[in-house]
Amino acid sequence: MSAFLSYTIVGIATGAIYAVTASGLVVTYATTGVFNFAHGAIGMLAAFSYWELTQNHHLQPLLAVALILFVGAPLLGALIEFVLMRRLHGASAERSLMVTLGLMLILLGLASTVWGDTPGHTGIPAFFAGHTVRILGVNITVQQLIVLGTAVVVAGGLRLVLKRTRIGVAMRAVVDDPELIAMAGAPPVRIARAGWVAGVMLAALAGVLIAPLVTLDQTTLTLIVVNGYAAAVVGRLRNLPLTFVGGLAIGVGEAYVVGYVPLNWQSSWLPNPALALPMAFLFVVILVHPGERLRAVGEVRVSRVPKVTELRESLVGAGAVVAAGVAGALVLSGTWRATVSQGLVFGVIALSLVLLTGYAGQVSLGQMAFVGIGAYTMGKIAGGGSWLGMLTAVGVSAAVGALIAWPTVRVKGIYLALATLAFAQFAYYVFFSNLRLFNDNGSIVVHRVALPGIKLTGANAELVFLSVVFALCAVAVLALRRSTFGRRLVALSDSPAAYATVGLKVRRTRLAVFALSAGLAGLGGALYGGLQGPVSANDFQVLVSLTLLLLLVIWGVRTPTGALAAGLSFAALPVLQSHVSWVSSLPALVVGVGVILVGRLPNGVVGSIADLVADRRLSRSMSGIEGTAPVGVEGGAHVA
Amino acid sequence: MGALVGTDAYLAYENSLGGVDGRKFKLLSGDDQFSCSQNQAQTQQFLSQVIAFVGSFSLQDNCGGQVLASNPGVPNVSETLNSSVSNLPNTFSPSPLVPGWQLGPLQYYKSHFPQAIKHVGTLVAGVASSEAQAAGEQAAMEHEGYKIVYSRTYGPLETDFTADVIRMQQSGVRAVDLTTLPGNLAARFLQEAHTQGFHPALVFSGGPIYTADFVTQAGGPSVVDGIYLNQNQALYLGGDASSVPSVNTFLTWVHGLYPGFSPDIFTVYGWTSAALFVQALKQVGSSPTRQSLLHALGNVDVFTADGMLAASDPAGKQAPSCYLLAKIVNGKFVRTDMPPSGFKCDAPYYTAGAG
Repeated sequence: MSAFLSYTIVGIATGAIYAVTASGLVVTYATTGVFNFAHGAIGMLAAFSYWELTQNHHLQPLLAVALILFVGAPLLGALIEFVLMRRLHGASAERSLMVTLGLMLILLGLASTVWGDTPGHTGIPAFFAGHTVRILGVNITVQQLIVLGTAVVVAGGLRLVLKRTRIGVAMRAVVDDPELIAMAGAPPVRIARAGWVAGVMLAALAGVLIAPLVTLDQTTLTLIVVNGYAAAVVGRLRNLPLTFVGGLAIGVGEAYVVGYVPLNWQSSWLPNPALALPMAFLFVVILVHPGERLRAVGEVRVSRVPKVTELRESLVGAGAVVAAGVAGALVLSGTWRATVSQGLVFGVIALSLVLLTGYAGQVSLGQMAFVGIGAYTMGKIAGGGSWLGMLTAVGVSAAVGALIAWPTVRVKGIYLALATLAFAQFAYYVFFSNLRLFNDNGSIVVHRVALPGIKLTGANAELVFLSVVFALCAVAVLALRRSTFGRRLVALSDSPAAYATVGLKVRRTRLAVFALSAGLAGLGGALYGGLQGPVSANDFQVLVSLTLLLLLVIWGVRTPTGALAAGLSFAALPVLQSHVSWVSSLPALVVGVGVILVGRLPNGVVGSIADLVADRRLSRSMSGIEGTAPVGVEGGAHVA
Repeated sequence: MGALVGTDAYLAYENSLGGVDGRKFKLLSGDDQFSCSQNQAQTQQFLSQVIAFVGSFSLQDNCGGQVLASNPGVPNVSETLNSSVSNLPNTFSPSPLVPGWQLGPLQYYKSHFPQAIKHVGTLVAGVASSEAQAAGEQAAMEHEGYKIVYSRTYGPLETDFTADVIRMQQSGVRAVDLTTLPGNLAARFLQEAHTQGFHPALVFSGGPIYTADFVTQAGGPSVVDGIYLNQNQALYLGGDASSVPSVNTFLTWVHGLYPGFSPDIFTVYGWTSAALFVQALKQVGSSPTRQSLLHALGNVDVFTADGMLAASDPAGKQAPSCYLLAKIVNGKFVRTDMPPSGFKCDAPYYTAGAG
């Protein structure tokens, strides 16, 4: 019993960390309507700034905290609101999500370039270091008590502010209808700015408080908030006291897992249970009470959907890709040939996102999990390089995709994104990090696919083969887009409620597109494994999924050309990084800045160029004709 | 970062002496970002640009190892974690990895803490190389009569070990082995153990805790005094500077080239790998080729990096059996039951699976 109480106290101390991070998320969401994926990265930036001020510039800790909380954080909050968020009002949750993900990558890249791993060596001293309080047989540090106290004050105090004060009510109201607020005489821009300033201050407070309790590195501090997501979802992204309770529940659960799960389980079939628990919790909480059901209301915005490519055009495009692949094999060598091959594989994976996100409007933040499942299956079937293995990889990934889609079918928007994130992180901890499954020193060896009658030895043959596979997949995706099913996907993306109202089956369509997308990602995994040889857990991290998704958004999430460009640039960025020594996270910075600059174009760079060309053609053909309605927009209504 | 610093510093030092046969070294480097595919891609990328891979260090070295395996004519002079890479005919490590452990330090702990070693607790990083290392060490411990009563594999991003501390207390742990924990996590564990009033009779670790910041990170001398350190390297942070001249050279060049950088064990890996490479290159003569370099490396059967390392056999891929034992006293690492310089060679190396 005493051990149980001890674990409970330890868990509450850990849970307070999640509660304080999740509370900031909830306040930001409640006052801005944006789920800020950069929340952890902002906290990380604050923690590193605190380190810089106290360790490098020897400032008094309290003065440093004051500077960060009352000068740095408000400035950053106002900057984020002015530069990034003001133009996002009324945008879909997906667009806001992309922008905050971009911001997260920028902050990660900046911190990595400025500080590297130096702060991790010295760390940050805790407040009142060495002082503890004994509770039920466990010594709790004063720092942990401060975090717990902050979590309580934030949960209780800010609830009062948001519910009972005029500014709090205005901050919540401005999310729903700024015009109405303006008519009531309140300045909506100033109120929205106040929401961002409050959210960033809370993120900074969490970062500074948590930093002495965890390892001081960019990724750990940025991703620790992921555990807080589950707590925030418990509070439906609105309720601070429930969020607090959710945070404590996760912390206590983790402590029980470490305390009671048999050690031999952890070293065999259930690795990292303490890390997997918050992800399982998040997934389940989303399913149990999805915060956002199908809604018919919303601001209707017309966004231009790319022209549907005809069969002849798609075959010409496919031929061009294959021809370019052959030319690449003849011209390129060494690194660039390998990079293009890799880019084609990532292009196939990006195609799976074109289906899911581009056509069907379902955001997946964990597509690399299906890629990993495909690679693993390929490696395990028939010697690791057979066409049978490739087909099985597609089938298994599709089946897992459907399995994940089944319970999440009622969920959309940010909740669906979080559910896919939770699944991917869970798979990373429990499956990809399982050294019994990835038993070749943490990796698994996959061979190149051996097709009957076709010799694929050598890097040139591989490049040509991959260009053919990409071309075939692109033709298939475009054929699917032209089909009835493709039109249904676009309709589902526009308005699930309308889709259901006319008698179409939302669940069936979603399951089908998830399975197809996961199957295509699985094919990408089989190809990726064959190209790389050994693959390991780190190849399938969530950050890889996010980066690829954002690149696709930049280039064009609704077109196979965008997928090809995304795949090639994803493969090329690390090579470019090796030529640029003054910045240490070039891919993160490029992708982050890119998505913020280009993210406002719904069809990305490729789609916008195509739109421009189409407009010019249209204006030429229309010259001299008056009173003709514009054409070329298909399925134009988009519920944002 | 450490391995790169060490390699760069050693090659800069050699360049300052005129290089080899009047030719200066140029170092190309890449960062695999902990990615298997990146490791492999970069190994492939450098293949045609370098005479040899020198001072590489990665948790993902098995991935680049595939490239090296299919290019046996390319020398790789690096500290490897993966035994299959270590066994490649073109790979030479300054301290070769062999599954198992040095028995000397284990026998020392056994003679001084005969009861505590019957109740050992340990944490193992959930990384293949760490698990392999821990398996070898635990086999050697069991061979010496140690009993491991608590061993948990922790995952990435785990930084709070308080629940482990409580469970160790509940399990009656009296000796804690932190060998496979990185220095910062070992420090955190010790801090949390100290907070909970958990003071095992014996705490020991290896090279990763031997950093300039370890004592501060853990919360000061009162937390870490009495902890044992056993490693194959001299006290390269300065403790052996007066008795081992190469430690002075090492510190001078690392601090000169990278002001403010605190050397760690990875820096020594880089430095000693480069030293082994240069030693072999000097044997080759004025027209070095990869083939002649491989041949020269195959003849290095005793290597100490001028006293920085316990003697190893890179050509025979034999791990050093000699070791250095130190203890933290008043917040400083000091040799314990050791001669004032050099290493102790009083027991063989236990090879796991060899009985």
